[in-house]
Amino acid sequence: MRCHLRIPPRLVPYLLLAPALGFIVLFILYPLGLNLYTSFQHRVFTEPTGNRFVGIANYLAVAKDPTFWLVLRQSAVWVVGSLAFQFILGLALALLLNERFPARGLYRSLILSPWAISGVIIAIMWKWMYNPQVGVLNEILVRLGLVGHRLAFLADPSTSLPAVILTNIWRGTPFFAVMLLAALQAVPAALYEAAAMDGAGTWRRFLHVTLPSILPMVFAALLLRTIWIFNDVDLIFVMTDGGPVRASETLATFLYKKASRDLDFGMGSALAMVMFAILMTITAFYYRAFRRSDRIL
Amino acid sequence: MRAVSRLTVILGLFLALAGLLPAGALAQAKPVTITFWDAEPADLVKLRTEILKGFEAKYPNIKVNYLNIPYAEARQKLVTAAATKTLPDTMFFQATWLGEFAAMGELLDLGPYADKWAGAKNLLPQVFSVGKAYKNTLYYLPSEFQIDALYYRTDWFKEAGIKAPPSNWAEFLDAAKKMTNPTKNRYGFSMRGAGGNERYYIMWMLMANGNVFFEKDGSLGLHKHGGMDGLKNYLELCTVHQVCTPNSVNNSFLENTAEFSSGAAGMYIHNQYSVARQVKAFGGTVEAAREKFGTAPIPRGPKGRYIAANFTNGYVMFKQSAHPAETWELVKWMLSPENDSKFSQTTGALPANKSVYEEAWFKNNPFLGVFKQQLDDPTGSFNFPIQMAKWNSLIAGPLKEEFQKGLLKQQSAEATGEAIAKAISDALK
Repeated sequence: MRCHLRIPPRLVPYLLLAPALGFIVLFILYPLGLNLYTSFQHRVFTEPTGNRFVGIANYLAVAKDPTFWLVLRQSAVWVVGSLAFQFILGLALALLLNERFPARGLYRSLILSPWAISGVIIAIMWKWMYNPQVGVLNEILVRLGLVGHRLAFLADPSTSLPAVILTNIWRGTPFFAVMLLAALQAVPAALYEAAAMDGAGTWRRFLHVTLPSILPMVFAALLLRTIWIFNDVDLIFVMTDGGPVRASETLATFLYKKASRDLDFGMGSALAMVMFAILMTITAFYYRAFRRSDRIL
Repeated sequence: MRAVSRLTVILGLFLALAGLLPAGALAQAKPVTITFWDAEPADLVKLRTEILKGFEAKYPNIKVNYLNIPYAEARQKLVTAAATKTLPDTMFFQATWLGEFAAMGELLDLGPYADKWAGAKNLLPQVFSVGKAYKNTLYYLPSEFQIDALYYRTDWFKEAGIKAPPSNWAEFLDAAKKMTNPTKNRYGFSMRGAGGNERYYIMWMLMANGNVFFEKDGSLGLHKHGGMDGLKNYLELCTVHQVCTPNSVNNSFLENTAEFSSGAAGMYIHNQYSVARQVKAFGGTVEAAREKFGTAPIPRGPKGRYIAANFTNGYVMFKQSAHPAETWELVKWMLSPENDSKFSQTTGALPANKSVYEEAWFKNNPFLGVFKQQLDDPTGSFNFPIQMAKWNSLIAGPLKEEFQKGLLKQQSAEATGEAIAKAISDALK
């Protein structure tokens, strides 16, 4: 039986895109729009009769809150500190695993293990490792004579955030190792041979062959991890709950507490929109930097 | 007119008979499904399931959809359910949530149901005094009590020549000092400085001020009448006398328990849930464990009394329930002496039924008596102001953080007390 339905050819692309567009509208644009709407409301669950439109009052309250600026600074430390070391160590591991050596396959599998473990389990594990009374880290440091007395890493405001960052570095390095290893393996061997024939040493081959070749993957990995780390709450919640006294609080945990513990959804939505704006800015920066490097290549 | 009168009479007779019908009639009614949530640890799910099966056997027309939620997510799930109108019929509920969910208007008044229930006479009076915390309405029926007491290392006490557990603050400090030796990684006291820390410093403040949390006019009295001295005394254990473990500011009850059983701390304060853990840690039997630890009442304050914080979990019914009669039967089932006893024996919680305390398992456990003693003492236990809608966010926020600032010496004890008092007073407005 013939189908007599005639679809104008110019509409076909839109029809094919419709399911994807529908998904984006339903699961991305609609929640975003609702969040934006709620950010202009006074919406506290324990005050059900107090819901009202308040304009930009929530945003002004955020801007005037010294805690917001504190957690914003700490978020920058959290992201940059975690990302920088994850990338450097991940690249080093990828370069190492790209070389030939016995049981390379086994090491390539093992390297993924931190990434495969649930964030909550990692947090619980490291929290006990850091414990000054019963934790293994202090035991090692004391027995090696590196410290005179046990250190309460997570109980000291000056070390709680760095300690959680260290845990995050341990967790996130495998992601970079795997992504960059895949990129390294796609670099044509002929390029290295040509460079070697032109007299380029190891460092110059790395700088002028390896890095430019893997740059697209570097940008993609950095962008993804920046967004994920910025939004991460699991390690901080379990290890320190943002403490002591907000010393390890980030914007993501602050937002969560505002919405979930204080039940202030208006303020929580305003904070979420601020986070969204920050991440969009970072994403735009990455794309600009990537396009520039693409032109140079 | 005659037809309407006849109909009215018949309807009236029917309603009267329905009120007189025994529960068995409910069992023969049409099938319903009710939803029950709890946030118990995974190892209690089996017990809960077994108890629910017993209920379904008694009421074959009532099916219970049981959902166990991880504790860390339970309140979030409840808040989301309230927003989306998908609350369960009933839940095993934490007392600190009472104020906020009652303020939201989501809880059903259980008073009319409890008034007609013969089993209510077997419940402790504290069930009703705590359950009516919000506007003197029975929105909540506590089924388990968690009372705090002092855990102490009997072997360390013997070593240090301390003859008996401390009965007052001076003896407590003296014992803690004698047991503290940082070079051997041993400290006298493991303080809870992380989430839940307010339970203990508020106890100390109340012991100092004669148990005055609110004044008669409803304003805050916690920091008055000597309350600040109590806070100072408690803080100085760590900041001046340095008898606390170094991780105290980040300690939850898990760390307290681990520091005690691993030999890092000689004393800590916690409820009876720790008894089973410590018995397991110190030999696995009550007899073996008695050689290593004991329990004692909280050391008395300057006014000669102890105050133990009274924390509860229990049952609520939600207004959204489409089957309140059937749901009430489930709540009564859970609170029955038989099931109350099963739960308490497994969880270590103090039960809600008076008769359960006469059972051999409770009477023969040497560690549990002190908790019941404190629960029974009307001047010795204290109920937190769970009727405050903002209590839950207070304890997770400023009450925790201001105390941590005091512990870390970022502010004085006086400044800490003032900040805590201001936070609570602001929440009362």
